[in-house]
Amino acid sequence: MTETVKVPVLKQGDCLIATIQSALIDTDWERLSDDLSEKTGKWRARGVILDVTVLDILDSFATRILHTIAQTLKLRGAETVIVGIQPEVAIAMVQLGLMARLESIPTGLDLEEGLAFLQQQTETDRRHVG
Amino acid sequence: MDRGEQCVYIADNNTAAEILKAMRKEGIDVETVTKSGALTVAGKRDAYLRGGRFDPDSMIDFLNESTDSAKAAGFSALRVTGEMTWALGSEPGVERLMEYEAKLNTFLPDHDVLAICQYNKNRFPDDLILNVVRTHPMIIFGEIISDNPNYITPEEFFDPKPELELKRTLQNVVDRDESRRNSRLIHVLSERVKELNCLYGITKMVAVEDVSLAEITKRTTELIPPSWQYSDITCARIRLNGHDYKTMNFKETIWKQSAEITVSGQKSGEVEVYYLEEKPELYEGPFLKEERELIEGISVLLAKTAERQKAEQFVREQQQMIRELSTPVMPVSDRLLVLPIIGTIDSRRARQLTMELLRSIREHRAKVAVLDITGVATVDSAVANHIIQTVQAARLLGAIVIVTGLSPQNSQTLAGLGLDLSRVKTAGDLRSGIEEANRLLGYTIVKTDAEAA
Repeated sequence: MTETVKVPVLKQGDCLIATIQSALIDTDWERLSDDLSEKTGKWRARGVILDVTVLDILDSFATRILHTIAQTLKLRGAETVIVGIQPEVAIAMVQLGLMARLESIPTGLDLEEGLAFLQQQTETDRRHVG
Repeated sequence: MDRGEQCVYIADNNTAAEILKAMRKEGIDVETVTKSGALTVAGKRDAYLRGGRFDPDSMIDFLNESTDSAKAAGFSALRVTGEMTWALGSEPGVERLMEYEAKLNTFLPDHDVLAICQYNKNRFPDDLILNVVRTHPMIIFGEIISDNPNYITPEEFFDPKPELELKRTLQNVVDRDESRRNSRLIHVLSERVKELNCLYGITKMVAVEDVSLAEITKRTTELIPPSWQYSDITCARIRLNGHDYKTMNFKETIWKQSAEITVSGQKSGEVEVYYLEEKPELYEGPFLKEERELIEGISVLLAKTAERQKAEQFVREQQQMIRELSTPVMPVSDRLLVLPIIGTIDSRRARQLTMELLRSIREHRAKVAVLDITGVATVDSAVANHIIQTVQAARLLGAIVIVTGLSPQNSQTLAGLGLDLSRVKTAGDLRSGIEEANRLLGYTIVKTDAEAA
C-alpha cells in the first residue's frame, strides 16, 4: 500500500504554486484538489499554477481531474494555469484526443511563464474594471 | 498370404515350432492362418522324402497336385519354401537334386506356384552350391534380393554350350564396367551436391534481413569443410573487414586454396581452405577444379553482401541527413520561431516536425512559432490533421502557432474538408505571419529615420 503523496503548495504573492514531484494516484489527486481549494480561500489567491513537469504520462483520468480542479478553483475565485507539459506527453495527449478537456485551461511552458500569465490576467482584469 | 496364396513351409533344420515362433514374432497371426489352411508347416518326409526316397519327377508331381488343390480351395496360387538341408543326407535319390532343380525351371513358369529353396552355404559343399546358383533365376543372398546373372536354362544345364557361357562372361565384363562408371558418376555428383549446399546455405543467410556481415562470415566459415571433398581434414578461415573467423580444427598447412574478397574494387579479405593431410594431386594441388570455382563463388557472394550492406547503410545515413535538413527550426527573434517546411509531410515527418518544434519551444522559451508551408505541395486532410495536432501540442507548451503559406488551391481544399480550423491561426504569407507574431508578442516595428539627427 503506497502512502498518499502530498503535493507541496507554496504561496507567491497572490498566486499558489503546486509542484507535482512524482506520479499521482486517484487519492493523491483528490487530496491535492481539497488542499488547493482550502488554501485558495485561506490565502485569497487569484491564481494557481500546477507544475506537471515531472509527469511523463497525462492520461484521460489525469486530464479529467485537472479539468475538475480548474473548475472548482474558478468557483473559488482563482484562475488555474498548467505548466511544464513535456513534449512527448503533449504529442501523446494530442494523438489520444485528450485535448478537448483542457481546451479551456491556459497552459504555459514553465513556472516563469505561468506567473507572467497570471500577472497579465490580473492587469487585464484591472483594466476591465477601469 | 496377403495375396491369397497358400503357403507351405517345409522345415528340416529348424523345427516346425521354431518356424511358427519366428512367424509370430514378425506379426503373423499363426493360429488363424493355420486353421484356414493358408499356412502349412510340413516336414521333409511329407514332401521331399516321401516314401523314403527323393525322386525329382514325383516331387514335381507332388507340387502340381498341391497347386491344383490350393486353387480348388480358393487360393490364387501356391507358394512353397523348403529347407534343403536333408540333401546332405544319405537317402537314396539325393544325387538327383540338381536334376530336380533344373526341371523345376521348366515346370514352374506354367503353373501358379512359386518356390524358394533354402540352402545353408556353410553346410553344403561349394560345387553343389555353385550348381544351385546356376539353376535358380533369382537369388537371395544376405540382404540382396536380385535376379541372377549366373542363371542358365535347364536345356543348357543338361547340355552346356560354350558360346552361351562366353556370352554371359562378356556381359559380366560390360556390366561391371557400367557399375564402375556409375560409381564414379555418383561420386562426382555427390561432390557437386556438397558444393551446391554450401552456396545455397550462404544464399539463404544473405536473403534474411538483419543478419550482420560478421554473422554471415562466421557461418560461412562453418559451411566450408563439409563442402570440400575430404571434409574430415578440411579447415577454413575467412577474413573480411577486420573480422577473422576460423573453424575449430584450423591449422595452416602447405595444402592451401584461397580466394581474395574484393569489395567495391578494394581487397577487403580472404577465404582460405587448408587440408590437414596430404592428398593425391588433382587440379590445384589436392583440390578439384570445381573447388576452385566454389571458393571463388563464396568470395564473390561475401563481397556482394558486404557491398549491399554498405549501400543500405549509406542510404539510411542519407535519409537521416535529409530528415535533419528538412525540419529546420529557426529562432528568428526573441521568443519567435520560424519553421519553413518543404516537400511532403507524411505521418513520420509530421511526428518529427512536431517533436522538433516542441523541443525548440522549450529550449528557446518561444511563445510564437510561424509554420510556413509554402513549400508543401499537397495539403490534404492527412496533412491538415498533422498541422492541427502540431498546433494543439504547441499550445500545451504555452506557444501559439501561426500557419502561413497556404496556396489558394490548398485553402480551398482545406475549407472543403470541413475540419475544425477555428483554433488554427493563419496568415497569408511568411511576412504577414511574422508581423502578426510580433504583434502577439507585444512588439511594434518602427522605422528609424537615419537622416533625423
